[in-house]
Amino acid sequence: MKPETVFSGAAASGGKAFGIAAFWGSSDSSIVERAGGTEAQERALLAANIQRAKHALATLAYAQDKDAKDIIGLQIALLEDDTFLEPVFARVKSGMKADIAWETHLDQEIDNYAGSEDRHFQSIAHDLVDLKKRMLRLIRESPHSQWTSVQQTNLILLADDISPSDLLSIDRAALSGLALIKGSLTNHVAVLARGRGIPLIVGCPPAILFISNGSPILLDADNNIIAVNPDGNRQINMSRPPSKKPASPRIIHKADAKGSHSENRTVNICLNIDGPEIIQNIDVSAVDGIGLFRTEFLITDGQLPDENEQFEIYRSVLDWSRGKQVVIRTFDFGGDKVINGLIADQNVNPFLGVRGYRLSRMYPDLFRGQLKALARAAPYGNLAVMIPMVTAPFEMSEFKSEFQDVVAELGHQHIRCALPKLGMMIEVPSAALTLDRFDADFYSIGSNDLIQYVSAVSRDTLQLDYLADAWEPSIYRLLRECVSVASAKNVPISICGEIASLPKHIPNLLDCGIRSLSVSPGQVEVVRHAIGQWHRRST
Amino acid sequence: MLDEIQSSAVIHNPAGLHARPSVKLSRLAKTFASDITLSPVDDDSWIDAKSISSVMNLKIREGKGIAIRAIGGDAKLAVEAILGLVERRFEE
Repeated sequence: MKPETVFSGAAASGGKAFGIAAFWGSSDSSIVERAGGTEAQERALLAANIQRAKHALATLAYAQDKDAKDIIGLQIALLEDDTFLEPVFARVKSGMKADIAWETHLDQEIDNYAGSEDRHFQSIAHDLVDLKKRMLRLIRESPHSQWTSVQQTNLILLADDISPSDLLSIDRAALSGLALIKGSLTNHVAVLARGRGIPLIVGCPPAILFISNGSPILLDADNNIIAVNPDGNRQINMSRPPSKKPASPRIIHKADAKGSHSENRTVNICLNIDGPEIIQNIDVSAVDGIGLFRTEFLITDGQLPDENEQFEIYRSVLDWSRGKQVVIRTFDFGGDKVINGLIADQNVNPFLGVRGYRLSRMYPDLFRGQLKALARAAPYGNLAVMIPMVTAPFEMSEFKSEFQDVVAELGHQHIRCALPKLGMMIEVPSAALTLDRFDADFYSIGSNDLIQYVSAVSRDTLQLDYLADAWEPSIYRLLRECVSVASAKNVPISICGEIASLPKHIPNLLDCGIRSLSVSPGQVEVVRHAIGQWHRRST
Repeated sequence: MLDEIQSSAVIHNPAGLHARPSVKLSRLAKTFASDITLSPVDDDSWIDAKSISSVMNLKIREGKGIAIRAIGGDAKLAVEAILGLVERRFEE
């Protein structure tokens, strides 16, 4: 039996999972081999990734000096050169996988220039190596080219990092746990993992990428360890067996919660969701509705659902909620949630750039389609719609009149619709500091962004986790202010950020006067418990 | 009406027709409708001037001559433009 090896990291989503090692996008290693598709699929994969590489290179070149632009310009020109690409497509046609065809052709070209007598031509080989790697990474990390030489269930995914959309593209049933070298405790991957009950350890040593593919692994995020070839004792101590079906978050009924039913009624607990699937196994009577539906995660395979599909989705959530409020947030792309092709992301700092409502304004057709779907769904329940990333009061009035226009237009066409409550997220300090100027039916504090904007600490930088608590006094003062402005205006205010899901922050939030928390489904139980303790302490 | 124009020029760039000049030449060639081909003057092997990889792969070094041939409605303009670029030493 192989000896046990233990790695450690920081738990970003709790729980334990037992499974086998699998790798994501290991383009530079041969840990996994990508299984090819049909000839047509491989050709499409190659063509699509040539476009993606061109787009990425153009974005990369955008803010660079002339020399850098020229260097990148060569790679772009090669990707536009049919003569250069033709042999790759010919290899795919003869049955080669897209990545192998690319690698073989580029290696030939690299040898051609590396063997040149002239150093100027030799140096072209370096550019070709760069281009080779970029494309291999893209092809091998495509959402459709994964999990090929490994079994399809109980996977413990080991990776350098993963994007939120890539995480969502993995079948939840296949994934038991996640360990990342990068990652952060608070970014969207962490949020998604917690919401789905997937144990996640971040900040792992790079050596995790050298774990043999298929090795048995115990990922114990409650104790911050990853045990490879775990010994028998450890396995016996597993608190739950490996689950083969998607774990439905365990939510205990209000009446069963620790602390009496009556004392907990003073604080609302709603759910943060990313789509209709996660609530299928949740009894609505256990919660007070949906506090945040992140609609940007409805994207699948790079496609957003159209107006009718959105309408069906929104209506299904309203049906589920049986009259309890459902807060749907309009698309919040940008920041670390990038949708390919929607925007040439030329933001030097995406978190301060075109994102959230700012991005929706730039795509009026897309935005109007979403508003129509929401207006049509509104008659089916208690709907509230909010926009993210509000900086100035006029954005809120603009959003309201846009929504009223949509309702009027649908009305003219005799399409059943209604105007929902219209609210805003409090994420930008300018809004939090002058909330009285913002006219909305409700406010929802997006504490993740608010914290990073107030503290100037990026939530994707694990090295800055030592500043993880530095925001507390400033944010709590700000929140107290927001709650008092909201109550003076008689406007409901709630919080949907990650801190509302973490028991250690809950007493402070309640002390600030917040009485409505929207939390990850997996956290309802612990949040309710924390609220109960706060009640007991304060009475 | 299709014109056929041929001319030649000597490359004066110290690095020859390496990456950057090749990108410029092929980009320029692509702006014309004519078929444009290049060959080293001492070697009758013609390649497509609109293909960056083909231009670069000629590996023309400083002091070597290239022949330029264009066939098409804008052949004259195309050859003149490419000669101009070579004369300006690719604006390097």
